[in-house]
Amino acid sequence: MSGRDGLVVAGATVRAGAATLLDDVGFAVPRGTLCAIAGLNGAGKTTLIHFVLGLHPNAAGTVHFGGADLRAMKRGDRARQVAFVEHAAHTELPHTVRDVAMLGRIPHQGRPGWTPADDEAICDRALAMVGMLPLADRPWRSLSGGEQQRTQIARAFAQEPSLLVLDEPTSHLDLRAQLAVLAMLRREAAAHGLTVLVAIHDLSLVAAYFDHVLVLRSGRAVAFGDVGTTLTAELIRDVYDVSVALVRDPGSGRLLVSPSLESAPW
Amino acid sequence: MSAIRDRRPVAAAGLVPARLVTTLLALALLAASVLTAATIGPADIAPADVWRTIARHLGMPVETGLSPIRDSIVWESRLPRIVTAAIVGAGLALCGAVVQAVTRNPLADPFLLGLSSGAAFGAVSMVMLGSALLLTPGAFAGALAALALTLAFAQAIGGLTPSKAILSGIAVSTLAAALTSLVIFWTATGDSYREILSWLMGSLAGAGWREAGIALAALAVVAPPVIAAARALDAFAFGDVAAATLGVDVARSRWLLLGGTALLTGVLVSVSGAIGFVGLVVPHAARLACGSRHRVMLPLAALGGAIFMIWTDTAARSLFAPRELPVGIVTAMIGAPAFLAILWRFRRAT
Repeated sequence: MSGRDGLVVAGATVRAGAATLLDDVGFAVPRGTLCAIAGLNGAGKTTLIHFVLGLHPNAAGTVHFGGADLRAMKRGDRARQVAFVEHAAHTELPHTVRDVAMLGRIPHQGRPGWTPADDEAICDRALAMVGMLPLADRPWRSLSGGEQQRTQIARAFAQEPSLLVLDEPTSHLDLRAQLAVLAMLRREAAAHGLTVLVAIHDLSLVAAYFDHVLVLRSGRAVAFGDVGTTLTAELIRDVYDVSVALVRDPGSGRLLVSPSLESAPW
Repeated sequence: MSAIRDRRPVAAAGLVPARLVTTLLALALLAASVLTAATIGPADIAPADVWRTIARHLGMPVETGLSPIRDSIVWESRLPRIVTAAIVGAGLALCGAVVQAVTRNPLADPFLLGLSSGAAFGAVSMVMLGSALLLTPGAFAGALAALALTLAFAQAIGGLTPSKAILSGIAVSTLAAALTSLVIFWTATGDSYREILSWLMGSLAGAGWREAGIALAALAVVAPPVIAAARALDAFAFGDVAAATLGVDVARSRWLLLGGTALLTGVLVSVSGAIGFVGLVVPHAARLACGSRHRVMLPLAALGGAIFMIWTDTAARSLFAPRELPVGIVTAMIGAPAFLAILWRFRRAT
């Protein structure tokens, strides 16, 4: 792993009043790979994501990407490198699907070499990548949750990022849409060197699609590394207070996380 | 991800000409509205007379054939009032579009958020203190204070949701309106009821070229930077976090845009009183006509606001002639049902 080339987070510490939301978290994700952030609700996944995005300007710690200091970067420059897909986006405006994708072009508009015609073409291609081009003129608010999520991902692609950050992108998607989204992220990572950081709950999806996993508990990193070696039954029992069996899918050989139904903590 | 540029080519949608046509149509409609509205009233004046009067006063060698009295009805009475109405309408529509975007509230409007009543209170307070020169700054200060109070109170009762912002706005607006009435009632020598009405419901009855000039100056200062900030306004569509990750300095943009809105509202209220609902209705109509991208929507909303205000004011002065309605009654008759329609459309979100 070449540390300088990918995403390197060090000493991330976020406090809110007396509470410490994130305590000295550090990890490194090589360019062109997928890293999952796992942990219980409230463990600090979203806080860490916001920290990486530069939304906690007064917190301590550093975020480097491709050797550049993301937190010290101008907002506009950062927005051309890093795109974000929120957990549940919501608007009151009667935006069409294409209008939403076009928001991703905002950081590029008015830059040297920018043309409006490029914007239209790039948005159409981004929408085509997530299968939303046929619905481009539909009102965004009339879409299903999965279609809205795919549109937000198209908006993020239209931003032409090198680092894509997603907060629970699969949590209200049906099974087929979950697999489609994660497969697409894998494809982009492999084909174009996109680095992907995702907060996600489903550990079987982590095992199937991700290269690395960072496990948080109460704002601290309790484990980080290669998914195959890091994600163990002991770690999951320790962090989630749930007994699991890790089994290999007999067909694909992929790791599956199978919780014991008797181990619910309440 | 730069490779997204090189993939399967897809024809870009050629939407620009359609928008240009809409804007040109609106401009033509605005010009026609000015000319037509100037023919409406007790003295019988034809559109050609209006046209020739304008040309003559702009220094063109035209013979109007109008008597000096009729010339002055057109040039000194009707036209300045119509032009002021157009500028006030354009400004209020812009203000409405901005507060709707920045507070992510489809029900927001300078009147409903209390800015207009705050501005009216600021203005009459300055008059009471005997400082007519400070009327406009007083209106601005009043608008800014009312906005700050509304947003702070909404924040304090649990966040800037549409309904909380409007409830806070109603409280602030009611208080400011009561104080305005009190100040006028206490100090006015003549017909205080008429004066209270024209401040609280709005009136363009006294508008001359001076008022048009003041309103135009404020519009010229505020509108260009607001329209230039169209992308930042777009970026607010999905909230602060989304806007920040699109490269927008959220806090700075929000306060500059809201400050500009308060400035413009304050100046407009100082010439026309608190006219409600224009800033609510017109931006929604503009979005229906051309979509919600602000770069296209803001200029169209401004043009639409100008046209809307010309005709509501023409109705106010001519429906019950020779008696005149405060124009705010006409805008409220149209705006209140529209408010309910918007409430209905967004019933899940509020």
